[in-house]
Amino acid sequence: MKNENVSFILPFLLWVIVTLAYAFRSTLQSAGFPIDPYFSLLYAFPVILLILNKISSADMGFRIGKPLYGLYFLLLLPGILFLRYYFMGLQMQLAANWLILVVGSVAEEFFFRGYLQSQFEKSFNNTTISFSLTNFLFLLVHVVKGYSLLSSLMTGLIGVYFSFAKDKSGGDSLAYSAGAHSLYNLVTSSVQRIGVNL
Amino acid sequence: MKKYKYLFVTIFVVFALIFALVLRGYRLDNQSLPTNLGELKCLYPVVVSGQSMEPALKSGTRLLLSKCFKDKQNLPVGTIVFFQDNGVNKLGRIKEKIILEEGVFYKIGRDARPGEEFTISPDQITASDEK
Repeated sequence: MKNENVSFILPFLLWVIVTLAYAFRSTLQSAGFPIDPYFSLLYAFPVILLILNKISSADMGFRIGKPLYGLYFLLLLPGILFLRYYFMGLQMQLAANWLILVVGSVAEEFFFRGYLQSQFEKSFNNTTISFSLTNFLFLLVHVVKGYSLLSSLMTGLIGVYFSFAKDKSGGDSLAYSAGAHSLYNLVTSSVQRIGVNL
Repeated sequence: MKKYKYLFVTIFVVFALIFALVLRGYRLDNQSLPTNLGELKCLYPVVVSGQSMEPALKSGTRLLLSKCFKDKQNLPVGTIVFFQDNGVNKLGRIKEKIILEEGVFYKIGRDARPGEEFTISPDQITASDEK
């Protein structure tokens, strides 16, 4: 009974810590914190829980899943975005910080879609609740990041798309949501926005 | 806890929203328009009276200035400032920044009165439209 309580409340608590780490990220780093506190916590929490056997790698979505669905999710949204920028005639050039973008995207998927979503799925046995709760918390992290209200809401919706990519009704593997997230971030950061208000 | 999980989630969602807005305010202290709690403390509303700043600001205009400064010594030319001159509050526009040995001074002009000029130190500035 006690264990159940802990596994129910832990995702919420870890989200609070992760969000705090983001808010005080630059403060911590200027104080001499050697690695990015936000990304490292996003990786560290699920990994620690995996080692302690509190969650299973199947929950996290470490599997092949459904490659055909997965490929669809991987390419649909980033592809649409790419074609949009392409037909707008915008210059595309691989962002200089592409590695950080990929590492960061995978970290966020690791924590939000991998850990939070599967735990909420277990706690509530309800896809609607787990999807909306995960992506609401995902949205709020982007509010803290300083996105405008509209683009925060957009990240919430895009998060639902990533949730489907990871859920068993969609791609059924974390690889597809992480890949889609990375590609999406790469496309948005690689477009040359100079003089164009997107 | 599992018994009250829906109640917990409802409360947590409200808490998380407030939590995120406060943290956002902490991160973006006075960088944009007041869209969050953290920036509310910076707001300095004034009502323009008199014709000295026409045509940009007419008498009776409500103006939302900010009393949080990134760098008081380094305000750009053209910034609208609310300043004290011999105990009287006035509204003007920075025309020139003067750097002397004693420190930085601003030459403040007023749009509708080209002849009138004030030379003030940064400490006399209460609020500005610089975000």
